[in-house]
Amino acid sequence: MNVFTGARQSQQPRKQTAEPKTTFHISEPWGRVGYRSKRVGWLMLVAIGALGFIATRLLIVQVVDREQHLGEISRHITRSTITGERGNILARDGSFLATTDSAITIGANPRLIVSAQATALALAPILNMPTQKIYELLSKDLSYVHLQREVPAHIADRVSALELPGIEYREEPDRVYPNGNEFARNLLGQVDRDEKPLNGIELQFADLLAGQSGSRADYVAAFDSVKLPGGDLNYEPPKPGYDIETTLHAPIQRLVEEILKDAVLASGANWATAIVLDVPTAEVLALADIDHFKESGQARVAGASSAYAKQFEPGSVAKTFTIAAAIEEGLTWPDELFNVPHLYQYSDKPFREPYVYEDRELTVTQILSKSSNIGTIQIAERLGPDQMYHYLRAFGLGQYSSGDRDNPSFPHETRGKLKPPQDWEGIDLAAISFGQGVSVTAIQIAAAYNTIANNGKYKPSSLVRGFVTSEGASRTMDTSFGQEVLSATTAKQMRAMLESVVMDGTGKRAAVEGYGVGGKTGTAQKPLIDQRGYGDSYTTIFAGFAPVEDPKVTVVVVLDEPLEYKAGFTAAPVFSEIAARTLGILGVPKTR
Amino acid sequence: MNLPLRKELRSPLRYADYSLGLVATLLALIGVALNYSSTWRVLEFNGQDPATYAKRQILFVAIGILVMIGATFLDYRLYRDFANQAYLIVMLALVGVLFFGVERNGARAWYELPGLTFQIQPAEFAKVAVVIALAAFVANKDGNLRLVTLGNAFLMLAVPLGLIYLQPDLGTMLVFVAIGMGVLLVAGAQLKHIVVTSLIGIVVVIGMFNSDNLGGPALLRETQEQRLTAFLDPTFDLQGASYNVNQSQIAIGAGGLRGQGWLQGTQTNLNLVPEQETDFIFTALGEEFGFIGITVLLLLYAYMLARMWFVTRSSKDLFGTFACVGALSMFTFQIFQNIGMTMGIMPITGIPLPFLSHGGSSTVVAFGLIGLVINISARKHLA
Repeated sequence: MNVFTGARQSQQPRKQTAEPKTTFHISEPWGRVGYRSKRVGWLMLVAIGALGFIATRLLIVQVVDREQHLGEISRHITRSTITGERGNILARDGSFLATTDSAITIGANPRLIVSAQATALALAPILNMPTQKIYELLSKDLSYVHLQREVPAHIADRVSALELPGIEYREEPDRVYPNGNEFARNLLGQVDRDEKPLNGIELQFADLLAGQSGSRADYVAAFDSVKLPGGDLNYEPPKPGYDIETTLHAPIQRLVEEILKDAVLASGANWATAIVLDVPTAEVLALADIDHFKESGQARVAGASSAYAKQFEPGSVAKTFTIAAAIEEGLTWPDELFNVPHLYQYSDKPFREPYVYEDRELTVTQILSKSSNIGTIQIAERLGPDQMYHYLRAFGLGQYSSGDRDNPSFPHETRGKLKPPQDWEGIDLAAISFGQGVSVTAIQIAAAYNTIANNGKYKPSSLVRGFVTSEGASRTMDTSFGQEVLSATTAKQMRAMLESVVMDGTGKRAAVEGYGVGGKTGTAQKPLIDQRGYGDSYTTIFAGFAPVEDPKVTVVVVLDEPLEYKAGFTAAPVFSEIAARTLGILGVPKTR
Repeated sequence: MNLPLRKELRSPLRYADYSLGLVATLLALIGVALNYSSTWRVLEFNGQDPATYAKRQILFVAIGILVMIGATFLDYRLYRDFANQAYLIVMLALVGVLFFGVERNGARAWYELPGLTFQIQPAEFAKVAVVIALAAFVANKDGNLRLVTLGNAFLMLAVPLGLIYLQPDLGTMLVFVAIGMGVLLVAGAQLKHIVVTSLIGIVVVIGMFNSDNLGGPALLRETQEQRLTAFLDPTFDLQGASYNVNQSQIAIGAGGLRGQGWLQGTQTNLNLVPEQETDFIFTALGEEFGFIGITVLLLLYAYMLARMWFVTRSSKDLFGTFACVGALSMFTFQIFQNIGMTMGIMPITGIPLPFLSHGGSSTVVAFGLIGLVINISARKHLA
């Protein structure tokens, strides 16, 4: 038997038919099969019909409804922006004051959650959230909900160990302040959870710090809006933001914060500010703003900077400007004797020397060291409003600390209040000469006293030196701006006079062992709110520099409404401690 | 040795319809390309070799071609002798799968063999067995289909239908119905019998759908009912039962005239169409190769079916005719049903597109059936 050809007699189907075939043709036998071929034909008709049906349908799907289908597809492509990493904020030594890390956000796709109840029960104790709250979030008809943001890594690990379906993890940028969240918070500012800057340097330099966003387009799966693998079309990489180089000296900043916190608690002040400037550059080495939370009995670094944002009347610290102006103009000299009455009529108002009940003979130096209001008025009369105003402006009053009248150098900065001389009337000249009727910020006072320390050359104070671009290039802010306010001689005379304030005047407690100190107290009655006149509350100020022979640091201390209101007893000792320890940190050799 | 005429001494290879094998291979290669395009992205994302599915399909195709060649060499009339045994073995396999099979997508239809990365689906092999057994049965009756004979034929169909219903796999059941109808129609079943049977069938199907409403047990699974409802009303439950067909129509529609190009289809890359490498592979073709690609595919299929028709007509014996008709019915139905469902003109059932869908059993069986048809074509000069 030939298996290959299958020739098997017994299996030949046509054997039983009446007449055995003798010839073979391809189309044979037609008999019954011929009849069937008609049915095979039907079958083929059905098949052709089916193919035709398919072709017709294809025409509808691919041609008629094409636009609609393409529209459906575009819904599956999403464009998203990738934010570039925020730049760092650096201290003057290059160390990080603020940097960006990533934090884990735990979210969920409620549509993929198998059992919202079971998932909520499992997560609640780990995330320390109410079960009901998680359950409600998981029951929403959304494809993504936040469960908790900025989750510590060990918590996230515990959650992921549960292998719950539908739980998602995202790494999101998280702003980190390596010296602690409170450190220099008043200056650095904060960002919210979405990295949006709220205040401080973060806000002031938001444009430089912010990274340049990149973008990508992703395919998104149908149900769950989950981004699909490899779907990154048109990827544009993000660029990191610029690093901001501040002038802050971290150890001094920390020190000043600590000293000022103690001072606030000890003095009972509402708030306090202390500024340490580097004399030749007027760079801010430290700037502390402390708020007193009296209910909880705590002193904490303020969220915003009072030094830039709060204005107050400078009181007696302004006398320095009046006298310096007069000496510079040759209208008086340190040893000139003034007959200073205890009552003095200026314009329509009798001025009274506080706590003094007799007329005195005082040199200009003594007028300053004993802080005589009437003596200062007499000197101011020689100056007149125009020159008075000119010098106050030259010392940086009535303008922003950047030295500009229109652009604040810090968020919420105020430029204080200084009327132009044509608006001065009545007692204005007299009042302004000893620091009333004018308001200033602590940073203005610091820059003004720094002018005297800096041999008469005014430099705007600066908190930021420059920035480092994302390409690594270093740029410095333009700080060439500066002006000669006093001659070096006048400045030197002023320093000597201010030293006498500390030696035998109102500022004795500002003295620092081993260094000569120059400075001036200011105890300013605070003007009443909503009405004319002054109340019983005071701002106490001490502004000065050390060492007096060749000043290295200018320090300003402001305490708002301390219980003991006299600046010589409250602000001066704080100044002393800050100056002493700052000079120590900077390694300035003792001069005496 | 009793040899027929000299003419018949010539090798059957002379008469074999090679073009059928060629078309089948061509279709299978298109299938491999589409297998790759519909899976690479997800595989790559999962860190696997993006060609995993394509490589496996190449293996299946290689096995299929070997089976096709093998099936061509043995005289097909031998198959008739072993038709009953083959039928019996496959039915036992169908019984066995209910107990030892693995479940996937809610159906217990696969054997998992140790050491193999793929599974074996006995229902696919049952298609071949039923085609051969049914053809042999009616051929033995010489196409004389009286009611009793017809009843027996129905019984031969009913056994696999019942077993597959238990898996359950509605789509494959319909393939058996198509095979049975084709073979019995051509074999000469009387029209009145066909009409009556069809009516009974319709009543039974409607009864099954509504058995729970009529107070009986629910005979169909919920998903099956939903798919049918979705078919009748495409806006029903867009995210659930209608999802597949909507997404697949979007994909095909997006293809347009020339398609988006191989590996460029959005829907395909996004894996938006479920089961795209298997039941919905047509959508990958539609999106990436467009109207032109589909036309080429349909022409290939049309050519294949036409060649099978010629073989059916030219077969020298009834068994050959009926076996060809069985294969023809099967392919026709599967092609129409599969493509139809991707375009919303047929309900969704899990039926593979011959030669294109990913799958070992279906690919090997399709090649095997083409082998059988070539076999018949090769021996049309023998009697």
